Amino acid sequence: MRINRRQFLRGAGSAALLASGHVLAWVPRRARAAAPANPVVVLVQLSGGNDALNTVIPVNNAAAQRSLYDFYRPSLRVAASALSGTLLGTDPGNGTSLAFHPVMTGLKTLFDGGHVAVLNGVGIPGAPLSHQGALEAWWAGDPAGFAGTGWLGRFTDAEFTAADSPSLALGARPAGAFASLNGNALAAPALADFALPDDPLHPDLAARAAAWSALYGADATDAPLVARIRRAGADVLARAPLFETVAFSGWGSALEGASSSLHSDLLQIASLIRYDELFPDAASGIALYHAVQPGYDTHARQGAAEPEGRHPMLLSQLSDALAKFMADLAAVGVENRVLVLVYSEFGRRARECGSGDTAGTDHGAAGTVLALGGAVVGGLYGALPDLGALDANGNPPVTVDFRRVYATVIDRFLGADHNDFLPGAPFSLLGFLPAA
Amino acid sequence: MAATDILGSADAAHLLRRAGFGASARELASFADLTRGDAVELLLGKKTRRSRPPAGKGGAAALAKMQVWWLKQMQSPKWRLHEKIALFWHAHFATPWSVVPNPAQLARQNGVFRELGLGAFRTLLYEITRDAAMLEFRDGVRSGPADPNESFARALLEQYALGPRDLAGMPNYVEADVVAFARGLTGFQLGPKDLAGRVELALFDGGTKQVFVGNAAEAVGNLGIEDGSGHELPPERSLLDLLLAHRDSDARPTVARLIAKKLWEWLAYPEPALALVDALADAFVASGYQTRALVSAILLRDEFWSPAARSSTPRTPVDFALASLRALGAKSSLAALPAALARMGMPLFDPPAVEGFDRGEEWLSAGLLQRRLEFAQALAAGRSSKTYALAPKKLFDPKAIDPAALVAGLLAALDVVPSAASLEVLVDYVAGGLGLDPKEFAERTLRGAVALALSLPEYQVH
Repeated sequence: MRINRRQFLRGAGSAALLASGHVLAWVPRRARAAAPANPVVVLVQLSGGNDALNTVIPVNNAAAQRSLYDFYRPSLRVAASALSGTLLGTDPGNGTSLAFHPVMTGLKTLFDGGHVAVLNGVGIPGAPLSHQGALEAWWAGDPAGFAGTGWLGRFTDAEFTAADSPSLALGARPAGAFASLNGNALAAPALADFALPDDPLHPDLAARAAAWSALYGADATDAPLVARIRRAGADVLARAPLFETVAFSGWGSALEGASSSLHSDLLQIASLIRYDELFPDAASGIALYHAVQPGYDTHARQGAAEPEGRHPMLLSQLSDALAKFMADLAAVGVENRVLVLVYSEFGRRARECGSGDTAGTDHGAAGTVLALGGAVVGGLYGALPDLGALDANGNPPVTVDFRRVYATVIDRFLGADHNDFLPGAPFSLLGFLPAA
Repeated sequence: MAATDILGSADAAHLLRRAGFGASARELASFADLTRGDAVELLLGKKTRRSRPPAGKGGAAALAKMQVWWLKQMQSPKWRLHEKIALFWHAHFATPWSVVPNPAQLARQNGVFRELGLGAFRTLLYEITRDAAMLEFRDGVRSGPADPNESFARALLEQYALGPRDLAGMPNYVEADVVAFARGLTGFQLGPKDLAGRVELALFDGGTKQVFVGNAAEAVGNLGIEDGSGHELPPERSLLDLLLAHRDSDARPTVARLIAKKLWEWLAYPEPALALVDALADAFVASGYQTRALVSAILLRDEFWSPAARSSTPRTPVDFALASLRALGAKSSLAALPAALARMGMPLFDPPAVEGFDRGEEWLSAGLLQRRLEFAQALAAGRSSKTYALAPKKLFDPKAIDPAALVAGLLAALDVVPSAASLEVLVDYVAGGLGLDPKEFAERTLRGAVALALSLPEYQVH
């Protein structure tokens, strides 16, 4: 059944239509053997620029990386002796043994389970040092910057129609990575309170809801700006019944009760994925999610090893939230069709600035990307940037073009062809997802 | 069209929405007879506004007090344009409470936006450079000669003064300029109760720095910044003057273009033509970078009054809420408004991202639009000035029973023209309540009409 949005909104009720399966689960057009049916990609952005060097830390002194690390980070260094519990193995590039920051115990356990890929040295060719410049490149999948569509938005343009809502960003702002020509990227700060309030003294919500739906039906006479607003409103009203139906708590999620905003965002995502799994006929149809963990722009007061430091606190929340999210996915039985990709606009400067408690780091180049999921072949990938060969700005240099990560996800998880979506393609794929 | 043209009601409404936060019918009537020039002069005034929010002891209550205070200032007929410009600078320099939870510091910064917002941009930039909240936010107080912190320098170049690229897409500076600026901005110190920093010579990097190689603003020497404490620093040239001397790849003044374009977009519409930006930038430079002259130039441009400017840009949440309260004559303590604004994406004093609040169509993502409908419902249901006191009987002609006439009166008050289909929906909705007893009709249907009118897609733009 394919009905247009106006009919849809003017129909007997959005909820009834949604419940009757208006939004069908989808199968990649060019399904490949390795790609799962109904794949879901969850992007987690560490906003501000995560200090990769204190996330995945050199432990031994192969290629002098540990002594260089100690030299550049007199205040911020994490002692090698503190890393014995979070060892990851040996860097495929220079043979340095590496460990997660000691607070990242949840991720370490997952890593040992074999389904976490740690991709070191990932970044943008040219390494823009401004937040906006770097973010726009990550959104677009193009070092030249953002020109209106995101790397996954172009994918949704090819695989979905304008009437679908294939992507959802948790937050006030739409995710640049999902920006599509179809204009169907949904953004919402919180889903559990999506219901509109009634007038408590003179209830009238049903009549007004009907009027809202009519007001936000497409109108051919609209100017383009108003047309886009009408579209956004239609998304609100179409999704509201669904979001009122989904249980966003009380289903035993490991994420419940935690206080960080990332926990809360991942809880909402897990709840929607669970709902889609339990009620395929009424599924949301959302295939792409985006969540942001803010706070990584640690120019000062970054903190080193102590768990209450600013950066360790962020990493601890990240590790805990991801571990609980993956536990939720496993409990629901969808871990093989959900891929989590954790990225940040850039890593940070090798040499710390300031000293003692106030020490921090300036904007850098190469970062670490994490890929998690049942389909992921865990391990260390890429190459740790050589601390003995920093770039002109004193940053660990990029060893892996970020578009190789995207290409791998598109080809091997979404079952599409990255040549269709990434400028500058083809790119050589990475091994963290298995070939067909 | 000229500055001597009489406004009329529609132009008065446009001006007071953009150069203020909306208008009541009475205000519109009083502005309608003015010429453009007189109206703009009236809004600008001649005086400088010196006032800052009350700085409470701290915590959420102190923040709320500051927020409500500011919203009240925005409602002031006399100072509306001054507050609109203060809000522009707040969005521009975007210093968040969540990073700097210090009421006294943020109150001082807010006072700077008010006092210097329409004054000399050079002075504003200087006061923000040594502003306590900014020094804390961008780590300026943690930046010494051994290891200059790049946070403020980078923001100054990228966001506050130049922008990463010029209008032709060419980079305005290189990484070495960030480092040189960071060195030249070292040494700021804050005493425990200071609201503005001083440069401590012993902590200032007095070495030779080179900036903007190949640009008209190229300079070498002991570059730095005046310290404001009376005794002059050794710097041979001030970095702030070098910013103003910077020319982009078209050999145009980079700062003037950036501020002219951004302020135009704040007051008029997005993506102005290059010739328009340059005309405004020229006026800005010719005035010695007086923001008052730039604002005046913007408001007197024919393009500001053109059809292209009408319904061209999304209302910010503050515009949306305050214009609605004013047009509907709703009384409010404003106590509930800061939280509603935060839900709509505009927490005053706490911009959610380093680049500030949302802009343009970012305001109207589905999730934020839902919160506008939520506000529309709350305002329409408001029966107490503790939240919002809306009196349907005052808003609608008590003798009218024709749904089309009732709706027309409401839309006129809100100054919104919906599509024919939207209008039909509103009229049908009101007609659906005609069978109710008069009180219920007023309390349910007329309030419902208000909620729906505020929810119109056409009302989300101005």
